[in-house]
Amino acid sequence: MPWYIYLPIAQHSVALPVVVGLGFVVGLLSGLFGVGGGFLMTPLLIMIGIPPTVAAASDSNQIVAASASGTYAHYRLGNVDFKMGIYLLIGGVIGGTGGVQIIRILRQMGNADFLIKITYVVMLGFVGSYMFFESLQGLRAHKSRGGAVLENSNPVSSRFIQALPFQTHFDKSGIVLSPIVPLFLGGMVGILAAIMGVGGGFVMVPVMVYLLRMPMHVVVGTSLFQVLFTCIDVTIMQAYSNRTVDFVLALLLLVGSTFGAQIGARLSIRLKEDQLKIFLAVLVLVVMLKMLFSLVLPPHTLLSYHGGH
Amino acid sequence: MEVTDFMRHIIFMLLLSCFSLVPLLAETAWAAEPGKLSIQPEVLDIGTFYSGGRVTIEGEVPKGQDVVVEISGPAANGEFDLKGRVGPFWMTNGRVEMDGAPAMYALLLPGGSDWQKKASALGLGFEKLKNKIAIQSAALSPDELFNMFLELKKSEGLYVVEDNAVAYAAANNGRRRFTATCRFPRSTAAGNYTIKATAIANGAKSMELASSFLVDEVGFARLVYDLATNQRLTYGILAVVIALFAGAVMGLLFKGGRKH
Repeated sequence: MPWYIYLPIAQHSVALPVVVGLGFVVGLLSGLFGVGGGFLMTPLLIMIGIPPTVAAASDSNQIVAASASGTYAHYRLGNVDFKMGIYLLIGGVIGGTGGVQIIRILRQMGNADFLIKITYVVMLGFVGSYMFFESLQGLRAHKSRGGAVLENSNPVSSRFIQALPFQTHFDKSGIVLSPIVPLFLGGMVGILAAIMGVGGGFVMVPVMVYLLRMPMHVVVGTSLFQVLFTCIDVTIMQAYSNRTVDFVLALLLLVGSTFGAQIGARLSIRLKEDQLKIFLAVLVLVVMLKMLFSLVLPPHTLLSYHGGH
Repeated sequence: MEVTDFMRHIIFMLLLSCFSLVPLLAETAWAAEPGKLSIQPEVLDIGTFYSGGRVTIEGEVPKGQDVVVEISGPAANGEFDLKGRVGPFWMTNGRVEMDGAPAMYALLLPGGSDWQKKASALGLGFEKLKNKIAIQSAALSPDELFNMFLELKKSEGLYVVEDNAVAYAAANNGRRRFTATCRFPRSTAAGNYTIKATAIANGAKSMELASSFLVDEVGFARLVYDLATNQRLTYGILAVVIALFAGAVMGLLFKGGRKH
């Protein structure tokens, strides 16, 4: 097949249309559904033969590029809660650094790939199932009375958060909250970013909206701010500790995903949202099942290169 | 005017001579000297658009003899992970150390009768390799581990035995000229390779021709690899700066961003 490109860190030659096309497909889904594509990008890269550690680290590098312009645009619009963002970021840097060290240790033990795959199975299984049932509910609600408003109240978690010490006022978001919460959440997202190569927006946005009750426009800007800087930290740490960042791969993915996202955003206006969400949920679940099978079915050979290729 | 015409004539003749000499020079460089192997290309470059490469080996053996060509790559990483079942999952639960295993091994055979058996009887091929590789593991026997190692390498196209890969030209001056072609796969490792052609007469080895061959990462691929290996922090920061710049350019092109 013509148009191959050699990835110097993955030490793997890949068909250029496949990598750019993969970025395009993930970008298209991202534009269609308004979600980040990071959680689909890494598993798909693994499926085309990129070592999982390189796939995750390079995806983080790609997210830096993909979220940079969005963060700047929201910053100019005044949609970033910097106080909240800094707390999230401190947590993210600590979590991201810890995650990179976890990968380093597991790589030495030979199980870094397993951790990445099993984390994906759990996260994709959870996200895919949630999306599937939520979309199904949405479809039923539309059929019965043309739409329903879901009330998301969780008094137990709200009471717990309010009981935490050092309650601080976050002016931009208009909420009072203990800094422990964003520090903890940032830390969790940082760990996920290092292990999975995702920005973490798919975890952070619902948590900010439903749990922290932040206004939507501030949520998107602040989430992007945190994602950008966490992925900057993870990229540098992965390059330094694990030598797994392939920026050639990241740039190719960026080109594809940017074009895909633009087309997806235009298409999304014309298509029915709930049906599309079900399609995305099925896709996520299929990817999850593929990864799960690769973990439970006997591999074609029991021997593999130590620490990846 | 006469001077100009004369100059044109001279330039034309010079160009004609140069173009006439090119095939002759190429033929001279390509032809194998007696007792030596000629390898084309002389160095296989792994550059930005590398997708594997084809290498041709030429040489001469005494008339009536057959040739088997062996290509073996540099010693690979000696450590491998061994997977086993842990609960419902297959995950690494052992370590295997291998010394002396080449990163790539190709055995190129002529067409015709059962050359795989003949080569094996002469100590060529995978069986010979097994005896050369020292395998250390408490988990399984060396034979079992070697077979797994073979499966791994074959799946990457790095260990191959190819029939009909050696062709002969008509004999000349009591010598028989052979040409063998080998496809180096996309996952070829950089390093020094050994190419050995064994002449076989009446079922026994009669002579050997050997040469070394270099597979080298070059250009941008080499630059990136060296930077990522020797200047890790600089490389990480550079990867971020390039990503930010690329993101800004894409943002300007499309006037917007997207969520992650």
